[in-house]
Amino acid sequence: MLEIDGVSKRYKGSDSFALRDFSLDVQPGVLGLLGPNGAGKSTLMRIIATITKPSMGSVTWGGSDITKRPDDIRRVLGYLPQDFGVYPNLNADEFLRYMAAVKGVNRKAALGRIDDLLAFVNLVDARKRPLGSYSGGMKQRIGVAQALLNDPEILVVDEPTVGLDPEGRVRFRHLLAELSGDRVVILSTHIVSDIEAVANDIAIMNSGRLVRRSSPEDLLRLVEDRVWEWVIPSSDLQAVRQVHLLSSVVRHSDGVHVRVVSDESPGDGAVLVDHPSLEEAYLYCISSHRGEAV
Amino acid sequence: MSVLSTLMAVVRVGFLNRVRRYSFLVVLVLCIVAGYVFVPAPGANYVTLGWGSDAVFYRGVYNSAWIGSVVALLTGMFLALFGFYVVNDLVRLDEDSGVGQVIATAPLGNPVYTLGCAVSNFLVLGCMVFIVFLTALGMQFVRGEVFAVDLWALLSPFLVIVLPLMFLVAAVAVFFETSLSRSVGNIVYVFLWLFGVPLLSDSIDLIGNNLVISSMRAAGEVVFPGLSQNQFILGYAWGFPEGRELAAFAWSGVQWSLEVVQGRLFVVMLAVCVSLLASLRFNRFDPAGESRGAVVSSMEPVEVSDAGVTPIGEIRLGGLEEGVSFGFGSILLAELRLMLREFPSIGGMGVLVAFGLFAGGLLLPVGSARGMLLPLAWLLPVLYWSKLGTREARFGTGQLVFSSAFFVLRQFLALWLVGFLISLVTGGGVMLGLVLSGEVVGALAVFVGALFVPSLALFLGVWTGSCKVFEFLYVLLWYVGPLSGFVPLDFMGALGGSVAGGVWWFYLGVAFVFFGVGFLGRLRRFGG
Repeated sequence: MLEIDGVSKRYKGSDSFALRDFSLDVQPGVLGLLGPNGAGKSTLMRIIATITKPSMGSVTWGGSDITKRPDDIRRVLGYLPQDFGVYPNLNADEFLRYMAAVKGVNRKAALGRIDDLLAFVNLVDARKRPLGSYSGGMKQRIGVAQALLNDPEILVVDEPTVGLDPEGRVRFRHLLAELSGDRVVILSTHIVSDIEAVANDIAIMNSGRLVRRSSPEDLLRLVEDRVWEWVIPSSDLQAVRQVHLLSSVVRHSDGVHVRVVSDESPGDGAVLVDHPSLEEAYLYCISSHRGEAV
Repeated sequence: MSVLSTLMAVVRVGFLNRVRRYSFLVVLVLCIVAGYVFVPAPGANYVTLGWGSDAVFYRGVYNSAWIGSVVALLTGMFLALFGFYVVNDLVRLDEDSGVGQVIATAPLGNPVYTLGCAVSNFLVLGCMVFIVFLTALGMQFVRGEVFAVDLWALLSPFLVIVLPLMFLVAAVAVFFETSLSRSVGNIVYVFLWLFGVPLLSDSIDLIGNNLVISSMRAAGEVVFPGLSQNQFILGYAWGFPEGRELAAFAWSGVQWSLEVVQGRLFVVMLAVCVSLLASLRFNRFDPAGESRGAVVSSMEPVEVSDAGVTPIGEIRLGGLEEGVSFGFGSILLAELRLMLREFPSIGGMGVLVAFGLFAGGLLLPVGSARGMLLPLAWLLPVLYWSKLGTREARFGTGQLVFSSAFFVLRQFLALWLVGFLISLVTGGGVMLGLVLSGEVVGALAVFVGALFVPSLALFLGVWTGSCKVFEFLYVLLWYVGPLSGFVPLDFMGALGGSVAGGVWWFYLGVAFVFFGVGFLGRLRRFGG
């Protein structure tokens, strides 16, 4: 449905590429886009949302080039940017009604939809209060609601759970899981647990490039024999940290229990972990791409 | 950290923040252009300072003293107005960037902060003054009447006259930022400059022109007795000398006495007092503070109860019953509602006033309605017009709305129509009154004004992303044109002369140009 073909993006006045020869074919379901800060995730999101144009390459939606015909994707798009503002003098109802008009949602249909969305994001009680008085998490929830107003066929959400409380995060994950089906959901984040919960497809990015594309299961299989648990004296921790990639450090009475992501055993007494986590698989991919020894 | 080093840190950050903007480069280029224009060539058809009779135009020889003083006086006059708008955003920058929250929690007193902001503003303005000074130096060679440079005579008017005035402007900018809402401050300052400075000029020579001009006049009288009986010109006077004989006299500059220097130090002290006064109004970036507008004061943090929360497992979000359609009516209504919500404290009162103006325009005698009520009717909505095309940039909603289908054209037309509607409701009574009394051309001129104002607002809003350029330019245009009777700038058809002279044809064309170029601005950024 969505095809990204050889896309590069270089911002004016910058020597480096935010995206470089990036290709991806996205089908219905939840695609989790993982990568460290500065990997180019937000740039890719903005290109898909037609806010930014690629310097090279093309993006097509249903066969239509969105650079040339942006309205083809815009009419079915729900977009939650990483940073966005709201109109502080409007309340939640008024803001969502405005956004519904902007997105072409019929007035009658919009009213029911807004009720549903406000219930979903748990803002029914605050719907008549000006948005200027909302906390960061509440504004984020309004952002989530506006992205869903037009019942989008493609939902692009950039770091959607930042600022949400734990319950809000769970609700959002639940919604994404429910929404995925015959629509495309692209979820960009650096919080691996968000992806783990909902994504059936994962793309890992680093330095503007696609590092790996696979299912969560394949990604986990990649590190099945590469994560080690190792008990070391606390005095050795700094030295170990400098040599190995550690995914967790827990102190116990018998020493420090570290989990090491490594192709080979990090030292005597290290044992392979039975069930490596997705976060460890992600760390392994990023470190390998950077050329760091693992 | 000592108070002085804290102050210096505030000054430095504020200064660097502004001078590294691309727009500052543009401002500096404008300063060079201004410096060039302030010293007209002998063959030019305008003058900036001198005395003119029907046959003779008197001015000083273009030596260092004359060029330095003329350029300094004009720079002071113009930067006292334009400079304010260049620097009146430092507190807002700190607030919008979030740095304000950090400053608020630092051991930094309000007086130190506001004084630091004033000094920072002063440095920005000082850079502009310095560029004009360098241009003035160059202009002495360009005009080439006297090649010997007297550096002190050239520089001293900038030091003694302009810099203290710039410090005062810098401090007033901080005071306005801490005391008034942004848009209101932008408009009030124009009026302060137009009416306040001339009113004060007899008691406090803020711009310093009394001192310099009396010295020039005295020198001119020695060579050309009776010179002061002629028309005095200060500013951009078109159509001079035009056929008049040029009579130049040598002037060696003002002797800066202790009394003069004390007078200028008084201006500096005044600036310090204004910046300290600003500290009393400074809310220390507290969003619950009330000192900068009622909008903020109504925004206590919201508490949301968990009662009635839909359990996670029961969440089902169905599809839309009806499809989407991109009708124009819905976006027009939405933009109109959004515009009316800009000032919740005005609320329905604004609509009542607008209809009152409509009725007044219809009921008053045509002459009074057109000449008096219309200028008033089209001044009151300036804060609404100035928001056209700026909202996405001001509130950071661009990514949300510009990723919507068919938005650019629909919203641009809707915004323009909202602005036009405001013109129509407030000035429509006058228009109708003119038609009923048979003055169809007069009504057409007002109608063109109703087209012109939203086009200008939208054009400036789209291209600058800020309200202040329109607020400043429009009020200036309004004052110089319809209010002061300057026919070429009567964009609203308030003057009989402009209607008869067909000035409105010009504004009709300009309205279309502004509309088109404004739309191009939107397309350029978000047209896809």
